[in-house]
Amino acid sequence: MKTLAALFMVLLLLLSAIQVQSNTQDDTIYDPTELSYERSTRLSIADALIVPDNNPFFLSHEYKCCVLV
Amino acid sequence: MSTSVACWYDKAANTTGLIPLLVQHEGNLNDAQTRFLETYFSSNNHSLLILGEHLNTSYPTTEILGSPSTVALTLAAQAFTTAPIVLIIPYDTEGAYLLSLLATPLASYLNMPILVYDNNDAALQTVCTQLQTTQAYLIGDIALNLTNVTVIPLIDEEAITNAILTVIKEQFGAINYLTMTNPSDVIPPAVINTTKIQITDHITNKKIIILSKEFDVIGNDTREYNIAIPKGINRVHISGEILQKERLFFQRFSPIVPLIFMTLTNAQGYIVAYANSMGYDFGNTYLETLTCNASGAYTLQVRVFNGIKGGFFIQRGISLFDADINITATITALGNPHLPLIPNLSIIAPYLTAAHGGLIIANTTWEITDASYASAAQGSGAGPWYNESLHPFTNKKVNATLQQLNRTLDALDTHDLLSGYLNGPAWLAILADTTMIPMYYFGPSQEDIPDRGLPSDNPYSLNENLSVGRLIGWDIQDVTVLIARTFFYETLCGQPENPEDWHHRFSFVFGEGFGETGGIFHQVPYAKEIRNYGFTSKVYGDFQIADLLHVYTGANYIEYLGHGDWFWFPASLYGFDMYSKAVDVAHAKNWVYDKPSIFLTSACLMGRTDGLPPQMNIGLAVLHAGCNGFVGATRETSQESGLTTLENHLIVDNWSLGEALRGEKRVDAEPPTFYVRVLYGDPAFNPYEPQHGFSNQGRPVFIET
Repeated sequence: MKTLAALFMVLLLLLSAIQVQSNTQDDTIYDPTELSYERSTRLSIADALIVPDNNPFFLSHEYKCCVLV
Repeated sequence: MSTSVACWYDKAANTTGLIPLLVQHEGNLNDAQTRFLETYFSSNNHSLLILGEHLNTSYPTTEILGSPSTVALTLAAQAFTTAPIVLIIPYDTEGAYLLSLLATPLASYLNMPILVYDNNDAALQTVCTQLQTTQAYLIGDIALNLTNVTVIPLIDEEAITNAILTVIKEQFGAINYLTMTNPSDVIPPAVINTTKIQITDHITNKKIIILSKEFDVIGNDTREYNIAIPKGINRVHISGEILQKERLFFQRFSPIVPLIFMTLTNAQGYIVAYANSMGYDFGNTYLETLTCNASGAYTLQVRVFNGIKGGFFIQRGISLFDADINITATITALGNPHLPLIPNLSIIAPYLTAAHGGLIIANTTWEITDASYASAAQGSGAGPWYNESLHPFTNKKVNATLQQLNRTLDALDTHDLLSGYLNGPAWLAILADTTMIPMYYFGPSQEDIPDRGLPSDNPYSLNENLSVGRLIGWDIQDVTVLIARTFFYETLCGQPENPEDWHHRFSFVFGEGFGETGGIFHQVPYAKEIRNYGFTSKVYGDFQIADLLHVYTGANYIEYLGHGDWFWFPASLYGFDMYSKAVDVAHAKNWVYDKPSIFLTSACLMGRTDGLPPQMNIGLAVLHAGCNGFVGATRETSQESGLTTLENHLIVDNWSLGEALRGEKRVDAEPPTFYVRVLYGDPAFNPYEPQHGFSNQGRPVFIET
């Protein structure tokens, strides 16, 4: 009985290890044909959107290199 | 991050959403954007969502300001109550902007918020927990772990493209729209330093013109100034302004305005830039060029005119000029040749593409003025528009772009989407100026103009298989409102109420100087023919009161046939004064189109935008004023430039502008029109016709399951 319980504990540990592993990025296996169509739910918050032209969202690597040069 | 809030598809509920997305400048909307909102909103209680920067407006607003990652998190939390999937884009890594551009339509297609990764793991985790997120598409090579969230990495362009095409196949069953854009257009010029040279002069000239010969009675109308251009890479900007004295009372009612013409030639005497005030503003203009180790003494020739000039075969006229002029030369040394003509167009690519159910193709190496230009243009004071030796370099760039376009078509084929694309409207939008994605320069150059080669967007059509349109304007503000006018066209136009109203009007205008033959043999019979299709058509030949009659702004379809150039169309040539009767940029930019017309031209050069400030092209001026499409020629044309085939495709076949131009080029390949005719506007834009009504403007529909 003790042996069976020990084996069961080992099995539980193994399963939890696999679960943790599957949450890491490197081992995620993505099949693009299996898409999720779970719905987002939205709120209507505006009738039009206005964004700036100075592109503050992407003052990124390329921009900084250019300015530094 | 705003794209999926402005455009989304909910396949499970079989619903889609699209609201206008505009780009502001320094806290303000431009006049065209303000007019759009006034027309689009039926009342003042509509609200605006402002992201990133405060906007001065009378509309109720919700503002979300702060860092990009903060704005994205707040926006997601406000716009969504639950989001099983999210898209996480990179912010400050190599290639972040390119990858984010490509991936963003995925957020619209899968109805998910866009979050920004900026080493903000905890904040992302909080929002994902709040939105009950279980999956996250992670763009770029980022290491990110989120509890209870399965991360789906899309590391590179290929992975992103495959994911998007898979979704498009599943959602819509087909793809009809591709957008090409250059992410480098958000990068400003690499300025090292700036030098200014100021010249003030006074010109007195009284001149008469008899039998096409000019006689100076007092002084002369021309000055020449030496401008020393240094070594290195320089952006040369020279403005010229007539300092007008206060006009007498009766002069204020005169249509005559003083004109200034400027030409810059290099040390060898070749033109590197020219401009005049008709192409910019009253008594005021500027020219620009980029020099690459082409130092030396350049000559700026300035000529003025203030009077009347008319007579096509035998010119006559008089000019009385007595005023100061100001010349300012600004020479900006650059660290590299990169110089977008219309900056930031790429930022609207995800919205445009997502709203059409399409795919973005982007590359930073497509531009002419990349690092390799410095050696290719070594010793040149101008680009390929005035320097023919740069045509092979430019055409090589186009060919490299075409290779990438073909690789994208291969990807479509892999997803079983190619056949449907090629057998459908096959729209291809070029969302870039002619420096960021250049036109191909065919030969031979026309001998009587300084503008070299026959610049063409034809190669991008892949032998007239794709329907190409170039989405450009004065600036990103104009282009976003052009896109808004396209998607919300039906709302702006309203429903027709009677056969005489705007929807049914087609105005034909022919100019003098052999335009009459086109008026008599094409416009008059064609105007009569299209009445069978429900149009109320009129043909105008006399231009004196055309503007007052709203001939150019009061019809759904407008066709001009006559002489033209990139800054004007001088329809009236025989009378006393062609200048004051001509339609030029200085006047047309102030026009207002209440509803979005299309402007079709059978004339020379009105579509030339290569190497020009966009504010100086007459075609882009009518788009600025509110048109939704402009068809014109980048160089000179002749009798082969008829528009009947294109117009029949629009009116009879109910095709979009891009398809109509492709259809015309499939059956009529006579040069130079075949090469130089271009479309500015969304190629999917389909104007109202009485027989077919409104179209859905190329919006995708869900595949039936």
